[in-house]
Amino acid sequence: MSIINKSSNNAKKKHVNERAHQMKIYSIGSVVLLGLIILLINVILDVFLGKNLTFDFSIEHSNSITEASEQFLDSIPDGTKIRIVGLFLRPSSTDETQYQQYQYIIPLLDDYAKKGKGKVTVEYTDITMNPGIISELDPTGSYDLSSKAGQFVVSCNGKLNVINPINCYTIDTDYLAKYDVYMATANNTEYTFTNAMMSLVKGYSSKAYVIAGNKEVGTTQLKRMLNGLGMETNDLDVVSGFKVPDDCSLLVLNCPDTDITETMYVEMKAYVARGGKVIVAVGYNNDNVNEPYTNLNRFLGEMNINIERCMVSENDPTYQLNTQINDSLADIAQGFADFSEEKKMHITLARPLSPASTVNAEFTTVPVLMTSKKATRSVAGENNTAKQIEGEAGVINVAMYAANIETRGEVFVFGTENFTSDLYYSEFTLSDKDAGFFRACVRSMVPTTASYNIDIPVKKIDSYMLAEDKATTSMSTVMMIVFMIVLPIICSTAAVIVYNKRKNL
Amino acid sequence: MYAIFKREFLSYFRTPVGYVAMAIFTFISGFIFYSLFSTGIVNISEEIISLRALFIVIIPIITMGMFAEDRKRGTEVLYYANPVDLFSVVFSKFLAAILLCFVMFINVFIHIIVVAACGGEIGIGVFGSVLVFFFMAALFIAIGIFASVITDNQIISAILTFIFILVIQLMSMIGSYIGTFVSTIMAYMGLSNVTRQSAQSAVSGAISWFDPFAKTYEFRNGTFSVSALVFCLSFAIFFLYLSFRILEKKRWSQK
Repeated sequence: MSIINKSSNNAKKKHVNERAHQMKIYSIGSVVLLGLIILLINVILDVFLGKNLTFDFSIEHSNSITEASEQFLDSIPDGTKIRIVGLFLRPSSTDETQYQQYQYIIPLLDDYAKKGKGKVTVEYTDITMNPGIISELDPTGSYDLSSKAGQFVVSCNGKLNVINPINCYTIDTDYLAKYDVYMATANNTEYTFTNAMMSLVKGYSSKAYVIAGNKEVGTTQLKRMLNGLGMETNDLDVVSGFKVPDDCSLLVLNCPDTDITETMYVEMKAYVARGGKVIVAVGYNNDNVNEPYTNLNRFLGEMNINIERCMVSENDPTYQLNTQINDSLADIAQGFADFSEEKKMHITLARPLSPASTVNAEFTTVPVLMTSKKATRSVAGENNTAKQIEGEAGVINVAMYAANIETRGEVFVFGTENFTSDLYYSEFTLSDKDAGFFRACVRSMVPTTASYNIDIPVKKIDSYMLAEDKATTSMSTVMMIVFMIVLPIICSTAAVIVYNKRKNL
Repeated sequence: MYAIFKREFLSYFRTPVGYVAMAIFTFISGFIFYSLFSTGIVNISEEIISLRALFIVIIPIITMGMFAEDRKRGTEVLYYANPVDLFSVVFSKFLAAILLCFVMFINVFIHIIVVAACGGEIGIGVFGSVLVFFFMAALFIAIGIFASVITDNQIISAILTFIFILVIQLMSMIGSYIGTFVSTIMAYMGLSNVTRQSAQSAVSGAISWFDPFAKTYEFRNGTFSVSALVFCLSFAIFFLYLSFRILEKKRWSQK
């Protein structure tokens, strides 16, 4: 009997062992199989379908190129190779500080590569590890790429365009001056890269020179606008012997705080006499309130324009912005109505422009932007107040245009900095109506290739600023007390109570 | 399943564990929020992204006792003795932990309401960050459950979860170091710079591919990637299944 039991037990044990062995194999097998399936699904999703399963819900689709850029890429002949090289290793997202400046650039470049149908390639390389890339991109060494680590190179047809990431953003210049911190207000990445590609594929149609050395305001945004119009931009230094180059299609004097020199006056006058195009913008600010602009007015006087030494006060509430007399709207003169879909432009701290005392019949001079009939003149008083100048209210010109039909010399003069200054565009971006009007002014003087008139909107960057009246110091203290003291103490007290109640259970 | 889920969720509040986790989470999220609020610029996505770093502390606290505590008390046998599917047990505990995360996250929802009331911007990036927070929480909780299943000791379970999450958080950095190491070895072998760089990129890229933080980075900017969410979810399922298999093995090995 016991032999039978023993044999039965052995059989049972054997059976259990076999079953345990089968279970073990099943367990390991199913885990390995599931692991492989999961790995496979993820690889397929990531490598093959990843881009198609990525959706850009960002504000203004800032991580995707617009239809305008797509059309441009489609218009490029097949076989064209645009190579975008980031002169750095693609940063890891865990390196927050390094990644931040590229956060809007890298996803957009991926989208260029995705939608470029093989015409655009994007790569990243470290120039210290791969110095050969410098001679490969720039065999003549004209661009000094060894000092451009961290920047992007766009290369096509043997030509290059170097893009600094900081130029892909509109920076709040006020905030920068106040806190020494770069605060991006708008994202120009697509604008910058598409225009860079366009200039390389189609070549620049003309050259603009921006005068530097008269204490001008920043010219980054101005140059960006001109580049967008297919114009190569260069600085024209007033210090090292001022001479307008022969290849100059447009000369820009952007908000100087000091007067131009005698040499500049002579050169600029000669330039206009031989058919040159000039844009002058002069606003009214703390640094130039006492500047009479004697030479500049002599030069503009040849075109029957005079910049006054005061500012415009707009007294018509329907023209005022935020009830400010020196931040208002101005009507576009009839002859320039087709320059903008808007009927009024934004002017701030504008200087009145008046006809010169002597009339030069060679030039036809007309107003471009005008105030309401209730505008008056004023000067800066104490504590940033405006002191009215005696005189009747009436229409005041804040932008004028002069042209010589014979020589084809043309001049646009703006009595405000709004159309050309970095300060203005750092707040209102290059999608602003003033920027559109300025572009139209440039186009009217310097014919640009039609393909350059591609309209890529500047993309907004979320502002996470709280309302000033709500984000006060006392409110911050309340937040600290509630979220850092009260709530954690409540939770901790509950933990202690529960612990004490249950410790003996 | 619901009974286990309910019992497990309420157990967080019958012991100090849930309250301690909430106190830590509330204090640190409050500190981040206050730091942002005092500058007058509050991007809630930044707060949520920073809070993801807290997983390394919070998740081990939540998951350390899930199975290890049962085993210590001997109540584990109830799961084996009852006619209940063990996967339901694992999954119920997983859901309870997720719900606890949600309860803790209410604090951040209050921050969002405060920001909106103060005229701040609550964009799509915030929604993306919240989504990623919970998907990553799911992944790490699954890993925590796995750690709790393989050990009898709560402390060892917490340490294991801590190490797992730490390695995942440093995945890109580890990838980058290994890539550089490979490149250095290749330099000794006399290979060209281009080859070295390609190898470095390939190695660091392959390792970083497993980094869920890198995969989900763009959500804060409003770019949502389905593959990144599938990655988190599928690996969470994998770890839950692994935990289930280990429990199942123990059930069959019961003498």
